[in-house]
Amino acid sequence: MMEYLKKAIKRGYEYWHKRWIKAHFQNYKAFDSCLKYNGMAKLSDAGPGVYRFVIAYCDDNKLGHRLLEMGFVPGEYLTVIENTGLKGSVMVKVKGSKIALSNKIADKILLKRE
Amino acid sequence: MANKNIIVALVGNPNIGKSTIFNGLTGSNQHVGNYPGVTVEKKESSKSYKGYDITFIDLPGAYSLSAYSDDEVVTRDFLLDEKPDVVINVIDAANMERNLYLFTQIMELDVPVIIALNMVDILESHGKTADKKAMSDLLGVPVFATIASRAIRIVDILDCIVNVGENAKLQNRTRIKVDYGEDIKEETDKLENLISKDSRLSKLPKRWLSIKLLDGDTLALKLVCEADNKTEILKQIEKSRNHIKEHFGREAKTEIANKRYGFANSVVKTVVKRTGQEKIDVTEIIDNFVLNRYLGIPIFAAVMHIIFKFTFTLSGPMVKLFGLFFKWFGETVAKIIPDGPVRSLVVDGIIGGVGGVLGFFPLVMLMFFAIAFFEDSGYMARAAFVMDKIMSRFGLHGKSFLPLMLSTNGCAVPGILATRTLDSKRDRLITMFVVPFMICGAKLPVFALIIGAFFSARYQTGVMFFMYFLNVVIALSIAKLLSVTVLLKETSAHFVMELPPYHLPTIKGLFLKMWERSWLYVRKAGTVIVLISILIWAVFAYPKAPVNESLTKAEKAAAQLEYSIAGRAGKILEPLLKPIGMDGNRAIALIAGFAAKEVIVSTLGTIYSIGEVGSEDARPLREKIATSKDWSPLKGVAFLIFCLIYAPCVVSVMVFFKETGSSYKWLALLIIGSTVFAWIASFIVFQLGMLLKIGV
Repeated sequence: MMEYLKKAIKRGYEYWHKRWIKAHFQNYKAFDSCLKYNGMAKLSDAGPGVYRFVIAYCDDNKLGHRLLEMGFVPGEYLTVIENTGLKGSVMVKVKGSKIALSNKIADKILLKRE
Repeated sequence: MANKNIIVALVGNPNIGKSTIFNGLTGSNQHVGNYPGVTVEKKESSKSYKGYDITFIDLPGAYSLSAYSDDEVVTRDFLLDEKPDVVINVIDAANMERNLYLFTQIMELDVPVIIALNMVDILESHGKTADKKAMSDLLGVPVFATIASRAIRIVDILDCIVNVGENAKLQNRTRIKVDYGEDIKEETDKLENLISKDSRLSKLPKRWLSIKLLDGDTLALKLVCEADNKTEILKQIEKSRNHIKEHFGREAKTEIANKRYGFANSVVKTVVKRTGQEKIDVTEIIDNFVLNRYLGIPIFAAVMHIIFKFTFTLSGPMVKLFGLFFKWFGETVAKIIPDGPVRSLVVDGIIGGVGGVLGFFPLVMLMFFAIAFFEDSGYMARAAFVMDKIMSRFGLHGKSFLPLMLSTNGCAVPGILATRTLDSKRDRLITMFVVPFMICGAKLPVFALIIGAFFSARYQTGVMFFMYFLNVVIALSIAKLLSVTVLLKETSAHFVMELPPYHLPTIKGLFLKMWERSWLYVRKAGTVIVLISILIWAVFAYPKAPVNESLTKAEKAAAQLEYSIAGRAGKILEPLLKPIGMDGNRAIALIAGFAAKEVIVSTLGTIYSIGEVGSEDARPLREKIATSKDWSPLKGVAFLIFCLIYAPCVVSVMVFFKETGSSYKWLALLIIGSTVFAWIASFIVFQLGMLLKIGV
C-alpha cells in the first residue's frame, strides 16, 4: 500500500516538475535552431539577449500601431531582459524604455539576430 | 480692459511627470471634469500673469496622435478643434527618442510649441547631458529643462508662454520638418493638392492630414469621407499606399514611423552628449527583486498589506469622529425642527443616509493617498505586470487588481471609478461587474455579527478567512463566466505596458491626486444618495402603524417596521426565501441592505426590538441571534453567503450604471443576475447542510 502511494506521489511530482520546467524554461535550443535555419524566431521563445525586431503579425491594426508608437520599428534593437515563459510575460527594452508584453503578444513578434 | 486669454495645453507621453509640471505651473485651483462621451478626465486650471489670463489644460498622456485609444483621440481632437495658443510638449530627457516621435506629430499640426525637457536628472545619472540651446536651435522652438520632483522656474516658462502666445505669427517661422524622403513627399504632395480642393478639409493642416491618410488613420479617413471629392482622394490614397509598398517593400505606416524615428534619432544624436560615468541605476536594482519570478508576488502581497495597514490604522479614529459628527449634527437639527414627518425625513432620512456614506470618507481618502503614492512612484505598473499572470487566466486584465483591491475592505464606488485606467471596454465591463462582489467595508459588520454569534472565538478568524477565500473564488468565477459567455466576442486589450523608472513622488502631487479622486467619490455618491436615502426612509416609515401607548419605544419601532411597506414586502417575499433558510425578518433586513450594506445590522436590531445597534457594539443583538429559534449556524452561513453575493448597494449600482454608459442591460444583469446567483448559492449550501445535518 505504502509503496503504491510513494509511487503515485513520485509520478505526480515528476509530472508537475516537467510541466514547471516547460513553463519556466523555454526551449532555447529550439529558438536558436529556428534563428539559424529561418533567420527569424518568435519573441516568446527568446532567452535574454540582444536581437532585432522584424515584424509583429496581428489581425487588428490596433496592436501593430501601439507597438509602432512604443518604438517597435523594423530593424530596431531589442533587448530581452526576462522571459517568464508560458502563460507569463516578456520584458524587453526598446529605445531605452522598459516594456512588459504578455506572452500572447510576444507570440506574434518576430525577431532576427543582431 | 479685459485681460487677454491664452490657452495652454500640456501634451506628452504617459508617466513622464506631466501632471507634476502642470501642478507646478498652476497651483491648486484645478478643475477636474470629464470629456463628453468618454471617461477621460479633463484637468483645467487658470492663472493670471502680467495682464494675461492663462488657462492650462492637462491633456491625457499619449504615445502618438492616432485614433487607437480614448486618451489619444481626446488629445488630438483638442489640438485640432480647440486650437490652443500654446502647446507645451513635455519630453522625458532620459527617453528622448520616443518622446520626440510624438513631437514630430504635434509639429505637423502647425501649433506653437514649447518643449519642457523633464527628468534631466535621470539623464545626468546616465552620464549624459542634453544641450538645451542646440535643441532649441535645431527644432526652432523654445526649450526648458525641468526636474519634476523639484521646483521649476515657473516665471521663465510663463514669460515664454506669454511671448509665444502674443507673437503667434512670429512663431510660424520655418521650423524644421521631418524629411520623409522623395517618394513619400511626392505622394503627400499629390494628396495635399486634392485636399486643398475641398473647402472643409483645407482648413485642417494639410501636410498632417495627408501623412495621416497614408498612415491609414481611421479618423482621418472618416473626415475624408465627408469631403466633396472623396472618391478622388480615396483612389489617390490607395494608389500612393501601393506605390510606397512597392518601393520600400513595407507598409506605408511602417515607413512613415521609420522616418519619424530617424528624425528623432538624429536630433538625439546632436543634442545629447556623453559627459560622465554612468551611475548605478536604482530602478534596475529594485526591479530585480520586485519583478522576480519568485519574489514578485510575495512583495506585491506585502505592499498591499502596507496599504491596508496604513489606511485602517490611520482612518479608524477619523471614521469614528465623522460618525460622532453626523450624530451630533442630527441631534442638533432635531432640536431645531419640530417633531413630525419633516424632522424624521431630515434627521433619519437625509442626514442618516448621507452620513452613512460620508462616514467612510476619511478611509477612502487615505486609501487614495496610499494608492497615489505607489502609482506615482512607478510601482503600480509593476504590480499590474506581476498580477497579469494570474488575472489573465480568469479573463481579467493585469490592471484589474487595483479596482478589486480598492473594493475589498474599502468601498466599491472608488473601485468602479478606478476601472477607468483599463483600456478596452471588455476589461472594464468585467472588472466593474466583479468589483461590487468583494467584501467591502460596509459588509464587514454583518459578517462580524453572524460569525460572532455562531462560532466560538477559536474558529472566528478561520471562518472569516474562509469567507474572504470564498469571495475571491466567487468573484473570479463570475469574471470567467462573463468572459466566456456575454463578452466572448469582444477582445481583451493586449498587455503592453511601459514600466517607468522609479522616482519619489512630490507631496503636492499626491495631495492633489487624493483630493481630486475623493472629491469625485463624494460628488458621485452625494448626488444620488440624498434621493435614495429619502426613498428608503419613506419605504420604512410609511404607512404609520396605529399608535399603541402600552408598548416601549423599541417595541414601537419594531411594530412600525412590520407595518411599513418594507415590512409587508418582506412578508410577501417570505415563501421565496424559505428554501434558503430565511424568514420575513431577514428579508426586511436584506431590503434595507440594498440601500447600504451596513444598514443590515441596524435593521436587524430594530426588528428584534433591541433599539439602537451600533456597528461597533452589537453584543445584545449577537446574543439575541445566537439564542433565537429562527436562527441556526447553517441559516447564519446561508444568510452570509446571500449577503456576500446579492445585489450591491444603491450607490455602487448607480455609479456602475453611469460608468457603463447608462446601459440598462448591464444594470439589469448586475441586479437580477447577482440576486439570482446569490439565491442559488445559498440554496445549495442550505439544502446540503440540511441533508447532511450540519449545524441545523
